[in-house]
Amino acid sequence: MRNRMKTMENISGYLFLLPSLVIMSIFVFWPVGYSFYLSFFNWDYAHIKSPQFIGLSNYAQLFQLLSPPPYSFLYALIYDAFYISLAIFIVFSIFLLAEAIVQRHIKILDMIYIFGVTIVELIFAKMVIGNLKADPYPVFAFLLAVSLLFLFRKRDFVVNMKGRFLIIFLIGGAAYLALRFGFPSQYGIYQWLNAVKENSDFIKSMWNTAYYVILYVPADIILALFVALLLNRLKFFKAFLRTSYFMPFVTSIVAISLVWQWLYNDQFGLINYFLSFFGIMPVEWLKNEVWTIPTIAIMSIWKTIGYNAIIFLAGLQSIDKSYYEAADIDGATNSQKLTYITWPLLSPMTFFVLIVSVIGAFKVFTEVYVLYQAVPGPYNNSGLTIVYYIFQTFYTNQEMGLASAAAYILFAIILVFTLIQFRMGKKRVEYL
Amino acid sequence: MKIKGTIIEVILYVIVFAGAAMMLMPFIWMVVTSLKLPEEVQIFPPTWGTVNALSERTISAGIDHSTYSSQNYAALSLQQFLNIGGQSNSQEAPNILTVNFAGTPPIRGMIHLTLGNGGPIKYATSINMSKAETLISTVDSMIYPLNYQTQIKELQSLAQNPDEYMKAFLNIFRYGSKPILARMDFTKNFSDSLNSATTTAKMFMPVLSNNPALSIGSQDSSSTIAQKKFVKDFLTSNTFFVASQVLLPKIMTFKKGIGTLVPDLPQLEKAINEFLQKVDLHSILIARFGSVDPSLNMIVKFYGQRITDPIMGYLDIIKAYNEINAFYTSSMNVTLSDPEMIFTFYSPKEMEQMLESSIKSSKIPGNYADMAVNLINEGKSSNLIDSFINKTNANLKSQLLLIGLNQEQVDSTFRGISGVVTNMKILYGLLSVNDQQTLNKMILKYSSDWNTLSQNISDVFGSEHPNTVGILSGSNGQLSYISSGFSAYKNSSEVESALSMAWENSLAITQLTNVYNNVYYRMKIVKAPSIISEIQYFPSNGSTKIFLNGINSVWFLTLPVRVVAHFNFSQIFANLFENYVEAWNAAPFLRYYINTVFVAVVTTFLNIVFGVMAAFAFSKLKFVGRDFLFMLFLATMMIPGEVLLVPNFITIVHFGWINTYYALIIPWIVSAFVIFLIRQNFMTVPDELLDAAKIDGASKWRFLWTVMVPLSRPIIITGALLNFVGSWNAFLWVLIVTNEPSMRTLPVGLQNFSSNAGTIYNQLMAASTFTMLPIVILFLFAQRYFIEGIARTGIK
Repeated sequence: MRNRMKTMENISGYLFLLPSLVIMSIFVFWPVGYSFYLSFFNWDYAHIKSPQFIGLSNYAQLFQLLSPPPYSFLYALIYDAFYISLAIFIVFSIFLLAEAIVQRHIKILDMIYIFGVTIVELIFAKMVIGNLKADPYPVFAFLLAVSLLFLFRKRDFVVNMKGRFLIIFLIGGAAYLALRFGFPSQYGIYQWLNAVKENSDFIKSMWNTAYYVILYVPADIILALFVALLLNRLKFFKAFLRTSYFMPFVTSIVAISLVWQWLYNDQFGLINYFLSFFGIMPVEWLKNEVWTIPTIAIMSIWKTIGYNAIIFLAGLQSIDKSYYEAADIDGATNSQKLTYITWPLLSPMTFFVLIVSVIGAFKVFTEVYVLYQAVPGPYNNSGLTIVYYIFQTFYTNQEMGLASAAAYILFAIILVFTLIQFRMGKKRVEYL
Repeated sequence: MKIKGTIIEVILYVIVFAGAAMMLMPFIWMVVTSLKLPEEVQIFPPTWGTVNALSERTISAGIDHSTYSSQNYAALSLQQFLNIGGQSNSQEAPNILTVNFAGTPPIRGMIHLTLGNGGPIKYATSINMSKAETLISTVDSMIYPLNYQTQIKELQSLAQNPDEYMKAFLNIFRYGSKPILARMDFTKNFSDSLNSATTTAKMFMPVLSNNPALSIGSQDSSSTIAQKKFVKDFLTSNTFFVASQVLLPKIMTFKKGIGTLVPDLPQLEKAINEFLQKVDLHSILIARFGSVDPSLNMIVKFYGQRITDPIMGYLDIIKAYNEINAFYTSSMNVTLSDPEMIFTFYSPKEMEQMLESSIKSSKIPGNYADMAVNLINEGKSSNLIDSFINKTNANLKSQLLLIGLNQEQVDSTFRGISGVVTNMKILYGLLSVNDQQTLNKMILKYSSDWNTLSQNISDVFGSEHPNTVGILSGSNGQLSYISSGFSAYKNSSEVESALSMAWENSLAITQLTNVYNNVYYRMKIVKAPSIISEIQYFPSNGSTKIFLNGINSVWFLTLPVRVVAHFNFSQIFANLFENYVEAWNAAPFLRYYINTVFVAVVTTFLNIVFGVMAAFAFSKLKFVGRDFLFMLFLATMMIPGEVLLVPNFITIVHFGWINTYYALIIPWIVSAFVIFLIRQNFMTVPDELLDAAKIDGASKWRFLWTVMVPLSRPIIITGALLNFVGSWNAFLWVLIVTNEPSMRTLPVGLQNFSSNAGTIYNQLMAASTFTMLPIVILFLFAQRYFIEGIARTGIK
């Protein structure tokens, strides 16, 4: 009897699940495996009936270059290692100086060493690096000599650097960029990638997508957070404001892109008109390859601010009011409340928004397709994104295998971000 | 403290509202653009209003001075164009005044057209012939610069008809494609002539001054000596060069300006006269000495011919213009005190009646007239000609079918006959009225024997029109070529006799086109001077033809025109949404709408039904593998849809679902997100409820739909709305699995429309607006659910 009940429950459970299971199997589970399988086959219009197994060749083809890179990646790495080492020494110097000034404690030996190396490196950068041809050995030897000295040190140069990752990262990054501009060299990872991307459509599409993500995600999140904080604080017109910020998100990307195509018009568009108030000459938004990705990013930011702001708003409203009351009693200022209560408690939301935005940004397609009227950018594939590449390979060129391989690389990228979310998300959620 | 807080509050509101304005700006701009007239769209700086919203619109317009053609070709389709090709050589009637609108021509409302500046205008009913003859001979006798002689001589051929003479004069001097008084050309030619005269003077004046005729002889009288001295002094002095240096920059000042030189003519004439007073030796001598000494005749004549005459030619042009113009103005003897015309469009009903009566009273053969009237009664009067052509073609084809040809033979025969008829029409158009009748008879007589017909045509018309006849019936012409092709059919003479039917059809089409064009563009005159008998208006290119009652249009050619269109309230409304109507009609948007609504509704419905079922199973039932399956479903949420694109497309192809609703709906009827959303809500419903229902004897199915679903209504609505919006806006998948317009949804249809419409932004914006409108309205009404759903995606 009990067994029968269990069987009945089992059967009814699967019956309720049946339609979903069937559809999911045909259109989700099966394709995931099949697409993976396809990515190892040469399956294009010529082999439509008889796909050939070619192993990893599709993946190799994606990264294959039309012509060899101007110099090897190793050189680029070594040159950049030099700049990075110089940036590190500059960070050291700054912290040493700060330590000396604040704590009145001067470590003569360390200072001589750090400042000495920094100055030598600066002289090297000034005199030599710009004039070197594709010959990394002097740089390599120099680096080796500099880093050998590290081996003799057991304790840290600067004690107060511990735990200040953010500021170290910021100073280091700024120093690196400043060095790159101050002592220009045609060798480096950025320069290498920049040269290589013109030799492979897929690399170009990854480059464009990464550029888009870097432009779009931080700006979008910061603006959305700002909007959410404002909306949370204000008492009147809430519904109207929420609606106006959120409206772009529900409307069709195609219609939106058409409207923006008109706004971006370089002769008669509204954006150039507004810019002309500030004396800015008309910008060729849709005609110049330099502006392709920023153009798409600006439109996307406009479209998704509302969405992210609503999520932040939900997060803000879920923060217990008692924290603020306690802070009020302790006499905390507004900015203190923001840094010590709101921001930490909002961090799960921030993280969620960050990951969702990054994933969404990696899938950008329709905006390019409509803004540029079914062409990837005005010229030179300047708007070719990964999904556009997949669409083009699969739909226009009918290379199913290659498209599947590209899709799987996209999947891998997105998966990495999702896993990071899970990892970090777990850590942060304990906070609440 | 309080004040500070308020100030901060106000600043924050300003910031937040500025942000909201920026967010809404694209939508507002979209709607504003969608209401604009075409000429208001691509202008800089952009404007936020539109004249479409006004009850009165001024349209810049002018008299059409271009060569008079009888037909308005821009308003015709290619087929219609071929059908009236035969008539193109007839001249514009002299009593038609054509006005062209420069702005977008109104297609509704009351049009006020005023000739002149609003005050009374003058015209002439007849011309004083004797005065005209004197004038014409005066103008003829003048000596013009070489560049202009041929142009002015053209006028002579019209000497018998002063009205047309005047018309041609206005064209040649002021309005033609290269008018004589065009600023750039006239000043350039004049300065060129002046420069070459100066060069000549530099060369010949020293030579002339040394001419022996100037040496003083012993018999010369004192006056002769004085004259000779004067001439010698004149030729050696630099008077000429100084004068030409003064004139040249004066001429150049006339180069700048708008329109022709007409308003500057008096000053120009004065400048030239001043110059000639100083340098025209002949008249100077006469003024000083009373006459020219015979011994100096040769020198003075030579000087005049080579140096001053070319300059005088320009003065003659101006004189001729002034003479004719004065005559033109003085001939106007009748005053028209109120030159305003008000006209409007006939209602469709009135138009149908007019068309019907004029077709019946025309010379169109009875059966064709009946056919046309039937088409009008079917409501096809707006595209009557095309419908008529289609109908006659269909009749011809059915005739061919009756003969016993199969479908393929019918098509090829039809093509053959159409080709022959087209070429015959070209020939027909070249012939005089008598010859046209001959050709008509010939075709009817020999239509069953094309070889004879071909022979006859080339005998009668071959010498006069060798090219056309050559194509039609020359040695290897169309007629005999196609005829020999027909001989393969068993009854070729019967096939060939269909030519007479096709020919009659084409004649009827021509006649009908004429009748139609005369009636269809006719306007209802509300108010007009009595000299105006009819007004035709062609909205497609904005030209208006004013038919004057026995008065030549020449008397109105110099007048400015003022056109104002007035609209009543409903017409303003129609004007505002004109772009919407045009965009809607430019692509099958109705079909797109139906498709989108159908797909979105069905997808959402099934999604909710299956989602509720799955959520129930995951939340309230215990079965083997439940948690594993749930995790599996959840895991699919992180798979990007693009990974599934290729295999799913292959699946759809495999099922044969390309271009079907199945392809648009089935892959999307289950969504892990909806299942998850509803499942989380179902979890909050206590299990005791299910047990209670069981005890009451309700099945699980019934319990689900009568208890669980009503309890979770808000979250189900949220899921449904998000799903509906997603389905409505879906793009990439629809783009891939449909390639026929009949299966497209709005986003793909809109994208397709945009690549056709190009840069017609007012229509594009109209299409964008009506594409997003339903979703925006839905969002405004169901905001709460949307925002709740979105917020929930964050807190999971």
